[in-house]
Amino acid sequence: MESDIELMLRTKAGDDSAFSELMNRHYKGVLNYIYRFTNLRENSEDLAQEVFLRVYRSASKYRPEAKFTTWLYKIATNVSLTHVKKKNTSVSLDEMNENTGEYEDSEVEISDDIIYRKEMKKVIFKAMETLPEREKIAIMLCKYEGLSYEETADVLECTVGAVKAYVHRGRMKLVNKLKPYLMEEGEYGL
Amino acid sequence: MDCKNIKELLTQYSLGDLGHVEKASVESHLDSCSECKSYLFETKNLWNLLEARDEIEPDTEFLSNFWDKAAVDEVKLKPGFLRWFRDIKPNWTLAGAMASIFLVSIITFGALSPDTRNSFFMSSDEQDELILIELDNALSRETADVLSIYGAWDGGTDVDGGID
Repeated sequence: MESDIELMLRTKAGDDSAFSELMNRHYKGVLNYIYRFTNLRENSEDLAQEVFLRVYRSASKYRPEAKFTTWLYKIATNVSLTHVKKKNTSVSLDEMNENTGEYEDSEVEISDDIIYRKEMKKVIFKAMETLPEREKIAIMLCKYEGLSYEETADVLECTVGAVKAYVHRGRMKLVNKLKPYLMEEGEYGL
Repeated sequence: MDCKNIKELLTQYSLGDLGHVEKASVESHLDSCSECKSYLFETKNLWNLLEARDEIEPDTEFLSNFWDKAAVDEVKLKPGFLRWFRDIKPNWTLAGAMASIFLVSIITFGALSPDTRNSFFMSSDEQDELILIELDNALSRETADVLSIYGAWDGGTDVDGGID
């Protein structure tokens, strides 16, 4: 299988099918990263497209110096931050409910488990929103996107030690905020 | 190590990122400290709890949507002669400033440049005068040669010295 860098170099040479392959690999990850950042489903799709458009536009200047995913998530972070600052969200929880993309039939009885899961999503979102920007991004990249500390450090343009500190501090704050849901292993029922 | 130091290492411990020595000291502390043990439990549970965030699936048309946008984008970015003209927006302030600079440049250039018309005629007059003097001298010499057959003038005037 071709590496991301090889595909990007083919894109640079004018091969659009290589870029489609890159999108197939990374689109879902970027989409969900933006979704977790903004909590708006509709906007997430548009913003993910914007991220890939930026990558595609700058393909002619691409130099394979850094890992492709690092570069990609740096752009995704910038796009998300710009959007959040422009919109001045914190998205309200009501808005979050409207944008979960889940469509419910009011006549169908909703199980306790579904209600609990929805409640947990809100609680986690609220807790994550209280974190300082860098702690939030570090946790999102390490936890959800599976980036290493080194890769996260590249995205945040800081040292690996700083990333470890961000993750640790963020995690401690989340533990304090979510303590009632962390009683005993498996007890939160997810 | 005290509890504060141990708690700082617990994130890395739970991710398996610690070396042998640190791992051993964390485990030894955990055996005897219920507070840190409970904290480790909570941080592990937190990581699992965060999985509760839902994932969304991309639009099935995401690739074709992207290429449509990229095509539109390419047209927008493509430089073209007509596009250049179309995109020109009239800026009357800038136009006025440019016109003023142009006029001032012309006036300044005109004032500082030498008057070539006058110098041409002056130089021409000077040349004419030189030619006339030369002609005059030549005629004087010719006249003196012709008259020399009659011998020297009274008073020994030197005809070569020119006629007054």
